[in-house]
Amino acid sequence: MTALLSDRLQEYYSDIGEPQPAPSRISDQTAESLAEWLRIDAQLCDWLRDPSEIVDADAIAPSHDLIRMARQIVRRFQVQGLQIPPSMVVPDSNGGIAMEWHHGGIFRLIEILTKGETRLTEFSDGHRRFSMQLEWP
Amino acid sequence: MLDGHEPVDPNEMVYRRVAVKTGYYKLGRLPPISQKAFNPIDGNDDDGISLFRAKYGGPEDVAAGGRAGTDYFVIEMRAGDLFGVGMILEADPRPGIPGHAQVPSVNCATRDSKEVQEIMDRARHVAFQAHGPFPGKRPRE
Repeated sequence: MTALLSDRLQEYYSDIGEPQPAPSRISDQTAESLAEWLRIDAQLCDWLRDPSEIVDADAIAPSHDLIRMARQIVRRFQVQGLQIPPSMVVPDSNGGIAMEWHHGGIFRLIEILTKGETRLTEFSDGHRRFSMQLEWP
Repeated sequence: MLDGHEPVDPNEMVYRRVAVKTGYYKLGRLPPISQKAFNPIDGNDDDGISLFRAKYGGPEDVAAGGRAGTDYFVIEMRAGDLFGVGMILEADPRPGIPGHAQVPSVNCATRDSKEVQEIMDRARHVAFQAHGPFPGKRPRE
């Protein structure tokens, strides 16, 4: 099961109390939201300097290409007008990158895996509701 | 004499070691612990992720088992709380590490399964106390 990344995220963010604007300009985002998106991009830029510095010694760091892909995805979220940045962006210790969103009992996880595939997983109060591959147009 | 082979008691406190630089634990963040804090690592956790029994050493000892040059937080939890979310610890003493415990069901082959992903998500929400950061002291190979 595949779905366009941006469409899926728009769909699932419609239920967390944040009205999603029509595809909007970055300038329409709240200052707080924009600042947080920028902080995340800065974090990913920092990772590019030496990816090995973000994982423990025996773990696998994400590649430069994967980090760049993560930056593109973050940028895409901003362009699509998503008001809520992820709560955290972390390496998965196996060469991938994980972005977590939390709202109430809902936890959404977007993973960029080592071969570049993207996966969206949703949990509700500790139960996994679905996990699906996403297409990156 | 205790040697680490006795079963993990639910009332025992156990530790999970996380490198500061991973961002898996961050004070003040909601939630403070990432699901990836329990993620099995290829080549290291094929038989299950590791935790450490507090009866055999304190947080600084656990951190010291990490790599020199890296700082670690040590997350303390009650074993029974982890049992309650499906994370079953088994005693697994190793040379020089009598307090080593393993979670065989949370391993590299199972980490993408629905059951294990749920266990990892629930585990990071159990009551905990974070210690550190403390330095790792294991020499680089």
